Amino acid sequence: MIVLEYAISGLLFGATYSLVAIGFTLIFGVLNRFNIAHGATLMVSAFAGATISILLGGADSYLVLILAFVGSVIAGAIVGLLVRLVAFVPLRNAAALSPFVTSAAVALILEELFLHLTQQVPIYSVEVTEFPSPLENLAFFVGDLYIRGAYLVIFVVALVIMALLHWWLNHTKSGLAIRAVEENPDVAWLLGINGHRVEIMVFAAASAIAGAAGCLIGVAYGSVSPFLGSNLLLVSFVVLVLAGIGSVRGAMICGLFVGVIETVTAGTISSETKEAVLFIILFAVLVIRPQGIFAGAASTRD
Amino acid sequence: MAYLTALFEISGLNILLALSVFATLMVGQFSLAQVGFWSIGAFVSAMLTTMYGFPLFPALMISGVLCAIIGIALGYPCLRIKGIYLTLATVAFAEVVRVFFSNLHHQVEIDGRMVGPAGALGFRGVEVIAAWPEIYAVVIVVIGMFFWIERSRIGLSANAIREDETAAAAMGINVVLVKVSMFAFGAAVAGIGGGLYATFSSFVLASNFSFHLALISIFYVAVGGMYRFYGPIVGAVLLTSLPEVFRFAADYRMILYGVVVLVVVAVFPRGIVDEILFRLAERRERMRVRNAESQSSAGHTTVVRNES
Amino acid sequence: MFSVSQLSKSFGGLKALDQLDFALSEGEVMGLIGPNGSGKTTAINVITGIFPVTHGKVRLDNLDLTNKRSDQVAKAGIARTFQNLRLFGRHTVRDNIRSSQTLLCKSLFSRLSAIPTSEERQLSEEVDALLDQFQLSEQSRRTADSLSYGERKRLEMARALAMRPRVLLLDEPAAGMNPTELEWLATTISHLRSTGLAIVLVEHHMKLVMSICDQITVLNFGRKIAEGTPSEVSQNSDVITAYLGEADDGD
Repeated sequence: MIVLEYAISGLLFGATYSLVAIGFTLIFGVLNRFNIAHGATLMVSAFAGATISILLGGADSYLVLILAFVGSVIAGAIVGLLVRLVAFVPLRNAAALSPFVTSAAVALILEELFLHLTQQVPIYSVEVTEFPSPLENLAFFVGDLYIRGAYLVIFVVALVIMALLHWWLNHTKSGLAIRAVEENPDVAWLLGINGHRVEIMVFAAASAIAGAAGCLIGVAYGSVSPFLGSNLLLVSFVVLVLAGIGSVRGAMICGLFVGVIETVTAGTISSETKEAVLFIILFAVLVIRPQGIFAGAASTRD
Repeated sequence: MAYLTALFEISGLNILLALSVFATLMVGQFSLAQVGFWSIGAFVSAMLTTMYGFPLFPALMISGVLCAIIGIALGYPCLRIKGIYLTLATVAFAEVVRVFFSNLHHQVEIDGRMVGPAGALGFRGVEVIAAWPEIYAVVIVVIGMFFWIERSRIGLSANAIREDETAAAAMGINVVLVKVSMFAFGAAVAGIGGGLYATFSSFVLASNFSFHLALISIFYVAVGGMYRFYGPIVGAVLLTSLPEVFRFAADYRMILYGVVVLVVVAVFPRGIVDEILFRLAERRERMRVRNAESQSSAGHTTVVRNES
Repeated sequence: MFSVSQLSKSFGGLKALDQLDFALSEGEVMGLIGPNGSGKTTAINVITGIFPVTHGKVRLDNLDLTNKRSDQVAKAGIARTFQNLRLFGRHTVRDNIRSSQTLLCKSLFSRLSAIPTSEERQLSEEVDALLDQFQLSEQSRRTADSLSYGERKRLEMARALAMRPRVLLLDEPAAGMNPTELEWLATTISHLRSTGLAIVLVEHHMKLVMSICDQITVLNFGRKIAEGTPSEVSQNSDVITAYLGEADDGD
């Protein structure tokens, strides 16, 4: 019974992993490059949400929570565009390693900056900064199963975001343009699709989704910290490999899967082993089926 | 003075870390696993010297050989994995190693106190037996090995694989052998470096060898250059001294560090050393063309100069 | 001496190569021709172990080379060039050629040594001879990236020959060559043939193929549609249709 409870909360919380991984995979799909600063983007947005919530007294106001969420999303989009401008635009034709390094440098800068801010700004705390929300003490019982209200809200919001994204990618003109660039950037240019504009759209959207995830995770934990992002980046690597890099739908499903594995391992064995289990799975999948579980032929390119 | 010595010593350690990353890059594999080997080397050497009374160099040798063996075991399955997927596999390895040592409890009683890895608290009180002479003895030997590799057919084959793996195989180069050997060599260098780190710093904490350090190790190579082996050396020395140069900036110095990495890589995507070598080669090529032109027009009164 | 039998390769459902047979003896030049996408390069890639064989056999003397690794195929004595030139860009011209001699090093010592051994000096003389033969002596210290297209084409052949092969697979060596270079290529191939090398020539340049090949195999849609001497093949109606059909598609 307790395992089922773990599995459910893992599934619900896993939706945030899906969001982080989707953003990461979208950017990879269009640029064919890893954005190591994606986790840092999430962290900065989570701080933006937490700041709004702290300043406006978000402990028992749903309106403030919504404002914080919107703030996080906007902050995410802005940081994402800045990351693109600083780490990716100057290196358009360089080797694959260079944007990896520049985005990692940006991640380092942002982490160090917020580490510093948490020591200087009075409303932040050094180790963990509180993210007050009215969801803190909300809980449900389904039969005997205890379910945290925050997790349920997270799950629903994440599903709505994913549904919107799915609709956007498949049924709008700009979404089709993104998919065309993912398939073949050169042909997309020939078809009159402005690759740079698509890049901007994707960075803004992917980072806004990271922002949303940052806010949701902050609410779920009840706190944010400067290292929030790098941990989530590693988890999203696992999601990404399971899903097959570039597969948005796979990332949605695998995020939930990773959430379940993580929570169940942490609950039944120990919280230290959960990362090891995830990375052993990652390694095994890479060796046995390098293109991922959900990837079709299109994402097997390297 | 003591602080300059420490800087010198840490530079030496970071040179080893950077060179171990470079060893795998020589065959075109971009590995973040070196931190994992560093961690293994650190714990194994620390345990051998402090808990079991081994002298420094035998302990380092054992760490290096152990890491090489693990490197081979890791390298073989990794041959199937290409590009960015390989990088992720190496991240996975480093993380598993980190979690393993974060949970390792193995203590023995020496002189009335418990010594050994204590899980998340790390291994405190490692006997300090390495300082700059030991570190630089190893650095010189390792640099010598890179010098030798670069001049021998191993380096020739490795570089051919990096340029074009398919063509290299078609020219009879045993890609599997060369790749796995270089991977094992890189692992051994990292293992020995980690061992020196542990016996130099007296305190080994698994969570210090995280993804964060893996990124820093990539910075060394990216900033210094990744084609010739002295690139990573320059990168490691430069980036190790950087926080000290930025002492005036106090708490902001790591931010400045990030900015410097960002700017250097954006301006010199090849890395500092390779960029200089490239510019020199370009100039030589221009001179050659100009000489050829002036020779061919030797009969004329005007010598055609380059527009530049 | 060198033969492939029933060689087939499918990519998913697509049969890129379907039951190709041919045999070559020493000093023989075989032309492998056919429209674009007819499976010529696939044949070379399958023989040299770049793609696994779906079905069939590759033999050199009594050695079965089916599905061997590329380097093992090379070691057995089969060398190749690449259609789109795959040189080691940052290697010097000399090192490009040296790279393919590694399999000739008998002693482990000269593979590992950083100072030239006597074996290495002998190999070095072979490099000099090749540089001379392919008119690359002056460029020997330049990187492959900095060479002109014609120079790179010559280097690609010199590099393949440095491993002392018994069979040479040439993938469109004439592409982009001017008449003088073409003449040089024809002479070089004839000279190589006279040393006993068996050559498979994948080529679009019909005049070259017709003038130097002993036998010709024609592929279309992965399947052999004709074989024989140049004059037999040039009168074959299937061959003419295949080429005219391609001309109709027009690109």
